[in-house]
Amino acid sequence: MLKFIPMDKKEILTVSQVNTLSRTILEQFTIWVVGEVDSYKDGNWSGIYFDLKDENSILPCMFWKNTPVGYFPKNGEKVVLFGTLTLYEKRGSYHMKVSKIEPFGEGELLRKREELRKKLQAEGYFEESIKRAIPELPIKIGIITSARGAVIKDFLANVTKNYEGFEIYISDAVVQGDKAVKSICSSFKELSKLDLDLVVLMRGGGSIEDLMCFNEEEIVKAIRNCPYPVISAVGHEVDYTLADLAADLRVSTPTKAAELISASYLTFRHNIENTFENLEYSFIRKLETDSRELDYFGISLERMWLLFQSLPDDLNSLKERIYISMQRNLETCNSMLDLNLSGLRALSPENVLKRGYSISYNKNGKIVKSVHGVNINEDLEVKFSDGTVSTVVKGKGN
Amino acid sequence: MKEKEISFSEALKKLKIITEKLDKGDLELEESMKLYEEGVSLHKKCLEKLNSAKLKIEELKK
Repeated sequence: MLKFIPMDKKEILTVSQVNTLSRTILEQFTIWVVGEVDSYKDGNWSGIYFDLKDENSILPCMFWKNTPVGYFPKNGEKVVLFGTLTLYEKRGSYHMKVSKIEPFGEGELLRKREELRKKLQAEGYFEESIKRAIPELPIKIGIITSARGAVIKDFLANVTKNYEGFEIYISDAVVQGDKAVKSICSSFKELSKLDLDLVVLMRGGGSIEDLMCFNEEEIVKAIRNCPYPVISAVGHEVDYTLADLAADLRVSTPTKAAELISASYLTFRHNIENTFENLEYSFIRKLETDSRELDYFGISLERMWLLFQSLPDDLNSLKERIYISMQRNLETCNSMLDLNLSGLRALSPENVLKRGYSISYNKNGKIVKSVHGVNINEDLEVKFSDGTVSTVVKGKGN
Repeated sequence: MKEKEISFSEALKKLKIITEKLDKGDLELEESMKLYEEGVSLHKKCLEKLNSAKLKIEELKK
């Protein structure tokens, strides 16, 4: 259709023919173009019309509403457009028919992220109050990352530094580009089916463009819908991703996540030993309190000693008998009072009895704690480490 | 469904609660002994579980 008509060959075209010709020429090109959006109008027409401009020029643009352009810009926003140039034959005006729109550059990505952050914040996705605690010692750990690459290798090497008892389930995911969101969401679903303590979403460092998938609404929702606490370990130089904000805990790199989990073993081990020590101490103190009644013996011995000293010397044989009796009592007392702390540290309940202690029960099954609690001729059950004996109270003294 | 095994966090929490109860000291000797025994067994179970666990790495099929 394209013709070269020399001046001397006077072949005359109609206006319509010229516009059709121009349109045909224009439509031979597909182009990418960058500029600022202006006069964006989304009316009741089947197309959307706007201008793309720079400091000097304006390019009229449009796209049909049923075209999947991928992004809807606002006035003043810098975008990159893909499409063909064409011409409206009726008016002879030319424009660009757009088939794809992308936000331009880092600034735009950050702006987009900020907008979504505000929206999700208002919906409560980043509230501190909904964050779940990371278990003291997570054992069953789900990992979402690229299964091939240095990141997972590095994680495994670091996580096992202190302890090798972890169960690690790796769900391979695309962590960059168009397919990432879908892939990461399906990994979350996969891991939700398992019985886990923790999920770690991770990826090595990257630019804001690389990490844009971690700023998507679907990822934020997948993190909050995950039945297990989630650590976000996406390495980056930029301040944060929305995945970081949504996660129950955020660390700056996958290695940090591994170190945290590895250290949790040491902390847990320390805590459990500490708590157990406290338990033993509490129990020993309890035993000490309960045996304080034995002190009554001590007090009466003291009184007897004073009495003994005040007796006149001519009652020698009596004195001797009292002395022998006192010594015997003292020995009994000493052995009963031998409840020192260091000795008890190694005690378990059965050993308390094995050491020679016994517990006396009255006929109602109550523990007898004091001589005041028994009567002469009362039956008592005495429990030893290896069994019980039945006894009758023959006498009392204090 | 199989009953879920007590987690390390739960075990530690339980041990702390037992210790607190013992600390109050208003219990009968027998009750104290029972609590102490429970604590000993929890502690023992935790250590056994910690020491017997083996590293397992599994890549899930999608």
